[in-house]
Amino acid sequence: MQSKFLSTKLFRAIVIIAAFGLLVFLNPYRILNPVRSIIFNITRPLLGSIRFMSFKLSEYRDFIISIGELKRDNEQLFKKNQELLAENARLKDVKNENNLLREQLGIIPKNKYNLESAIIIGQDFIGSENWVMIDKGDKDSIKKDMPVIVSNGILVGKIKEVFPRTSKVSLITNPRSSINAVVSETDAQGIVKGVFGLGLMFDMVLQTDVIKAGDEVITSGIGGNMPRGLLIGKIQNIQISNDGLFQKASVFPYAKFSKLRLVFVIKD
Amino acid sequence: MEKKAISITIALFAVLFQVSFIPAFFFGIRTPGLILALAISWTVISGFSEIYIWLIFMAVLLDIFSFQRIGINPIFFIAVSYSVGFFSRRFLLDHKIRGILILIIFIAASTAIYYFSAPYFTNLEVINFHDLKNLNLFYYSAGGLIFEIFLNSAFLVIVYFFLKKIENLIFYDEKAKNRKK
Repeated sequence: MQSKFLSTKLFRAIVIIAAFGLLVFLNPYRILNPVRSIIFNITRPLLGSIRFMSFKLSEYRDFIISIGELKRDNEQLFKKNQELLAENARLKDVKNENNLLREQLGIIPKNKYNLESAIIIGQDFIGSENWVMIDKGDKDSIKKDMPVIVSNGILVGKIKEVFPRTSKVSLITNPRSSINAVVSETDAQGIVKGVFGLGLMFDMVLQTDVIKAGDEVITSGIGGNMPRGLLIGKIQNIQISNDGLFQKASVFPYAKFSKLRLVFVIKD
Repeated sequence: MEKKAISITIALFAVLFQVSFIPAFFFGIRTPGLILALAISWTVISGFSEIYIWLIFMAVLLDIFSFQRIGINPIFFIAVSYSVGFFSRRFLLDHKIRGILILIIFIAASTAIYYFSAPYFTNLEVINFHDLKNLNLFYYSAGGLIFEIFLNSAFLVIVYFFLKKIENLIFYDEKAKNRKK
């Protein structure tokens, strides 16, 4: 009777669940890191190719969806083009002014970073898109906490874990992420926190500081490896914090997380 | 041997697709669970005893790729597979419509369990709805859950027929070899 039970599927399922339950409890995360490294090394090229395929298919899907909107978009684009020509002339002036201000504020020019390009090969699949995996790691001198940006200086996240040839990047929308930030227009300081993988919150802003919808939020350069001047997003809605001591605002991120393919790690 | 090679290839590619292809393709909407669909349909076709090793293999790989504690996904998938195996022997074989209904109930229940427990798997903070009122809440709404169940059901159908086709191919191949002998 007992030996019959030992050979049943139920017994097998119970043993497996108990064994893995113990493993969860003991959590040998660091001990298993060499195994992780080996698996990431082996699967890295495959992951890269599969992700590339996914992007190509997404592009086709988006193209098919957008066919009906092409004519209307074309007319809008023509109008927009005229406006942009005028805007372009104005921005040339602003650029010169911006360079001058950057110099005065000590913000590193965007093309002065020591950047390491990396391709995204994996992504959070549980649903909240809190992290991505890149194809560069310890062998490319990537270190923990290095900022990750897209080409035009927009902050995407920070290096969280480093493996020999891959790294895990914690996105700024991660609820554990907190970045010292300032509003570029008024210099109001606060902390940008991720909100459950859904968006960003600019929190801990003093009541005396002035912030308004549409203001640009950038990194303040205080603490860690984060340089000043990386773009984070635009302020949307402003509220008073629950304790009534601070202001907080939801921030619309500049980074288009759905289109992330190539990112850059700021090495110093 | 051939069956083992095919099984390991299916398991490995399913995990790689779950990690790399699906989150990028379905970004902004809920991420469907290819492994969940595979676990359920594979159990219905081959039975728990035949596939639990491959399920553990897939689930451990998933834990590794999701940088979380090793063991969470194996516990979940083994429990789902055992339950599906238990009920499929009793209800699925004799009645097609009832079988399909039970499969849909299974995928809905498993999706809901995974959906509600995922934040705890990843040690995320509990949602503060006051902070989220201006953000896109589709992710964590009932609509998001229903949409994910719909996606997972669609994946289940595709994966089921794909696996059935492969099994038939192996089965006929083995039958032909036996006849030659």
